[in-house]
Amino acid sequence: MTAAALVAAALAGIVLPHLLRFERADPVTAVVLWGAALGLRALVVVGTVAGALVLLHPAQLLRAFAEWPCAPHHHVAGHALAAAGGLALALSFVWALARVVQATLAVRRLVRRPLGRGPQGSVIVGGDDVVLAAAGLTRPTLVVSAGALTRLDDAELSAALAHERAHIRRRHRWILLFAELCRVLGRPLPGTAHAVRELRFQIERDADRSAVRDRADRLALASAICKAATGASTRPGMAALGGDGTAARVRELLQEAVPDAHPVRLRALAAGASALVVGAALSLPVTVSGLGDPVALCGP
Amino acid sequence: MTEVTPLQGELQTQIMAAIWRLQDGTVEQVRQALPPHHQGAYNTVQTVLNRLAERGLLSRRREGHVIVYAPRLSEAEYLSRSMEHTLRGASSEARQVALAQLIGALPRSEAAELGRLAEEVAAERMR
Repeated sequence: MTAAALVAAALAGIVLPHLLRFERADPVTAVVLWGAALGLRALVVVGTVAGALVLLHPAQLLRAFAEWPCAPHHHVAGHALAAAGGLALALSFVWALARVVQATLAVRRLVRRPLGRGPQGSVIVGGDDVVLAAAGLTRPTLVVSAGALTRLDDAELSAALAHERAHIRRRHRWILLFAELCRVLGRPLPGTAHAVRELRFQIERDADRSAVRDRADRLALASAICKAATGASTRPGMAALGGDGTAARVRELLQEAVPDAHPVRLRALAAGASALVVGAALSLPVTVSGLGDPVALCGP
Repeated sequence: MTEVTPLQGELQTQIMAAIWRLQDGTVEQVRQALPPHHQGAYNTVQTVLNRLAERGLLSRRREGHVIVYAPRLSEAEYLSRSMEHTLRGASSEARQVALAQLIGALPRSEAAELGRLAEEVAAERMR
């Protein structure tokens, strides 16, 4: 596949989910499509930077800096721009990863010293607000705030815990990690933040559906979401958690189950987008390295 | 399915407040410590106390013929918001990866709509 064809296919995969409507779509299919779009965004940015660095050969890069200010300014500027872009991308990636590890370790420390043991193997943390979460990456734990244990009735608590168990069982944490890393890499492209929000929304929808399939009461889950969201909205620190669409989820839970819209067509698109990501990731090194002869391009 | 009691959460909160004031107490002592409009039947208070014990918020011990309930965590611990405190320095993106939560962000535009939806949900649950 030529570089141009690869870029065109990647751009199509990136734009595709923005053109579709997922209100009544299967959330798993929507997660795959948004995840593929995020993966392609990351690959496009990495490919662009890597391509620039390959075109501007490292030896030429060093020589341009060594000969500055004698070397032509456009050479120095071009090399500096490519090098700075690559460095910024690498640093922001490492920084984001470090922040995730830091937050995960902080949560793990908290979970190891809980205030007590709650229902269904959960651990109790302080707080008069309604907080329920699946905490941690490698060994996720159900976390429930003391406020949730007093404010939620039996059905609400059971449904909320079923929702969190669905997050754990369906390994949503790894999708969230993937989305975060793609967000960092794909940040230069417009729409990346929106894609991450949509992906998170679909993950929450998937957990809602899974909980209801697991015999959780959908109205009780909707009620628990309302109680949790109402408290969070008054606290800016916690309101930043999660994705958009809380009201949309409650509206969906209020309705009786309706069949998914265009399931076959969307699944075919999701399969195609996934194949495109895998293909692009595998062919990226070959495509980038074959971009041209750097010596011929930069001159002796 | 569990019987829907919309005020269950409110009664649980009141009972926890009463238990903290008393330090510990029997069902009748807790019932007497509740505000007048929450002083329901003995059985109701006992059910809620047992539920709170099963959820890990209260401990139970037998003293003679009666069961005495005591809080497992102090009021200060209850109010501590330890999760929020722990993640105070973390970016919102890192929090989202570390915690898959029940709810998402709630834009201000959604707050009003969610209030209306909460009423609708409560009405549906009462049916």
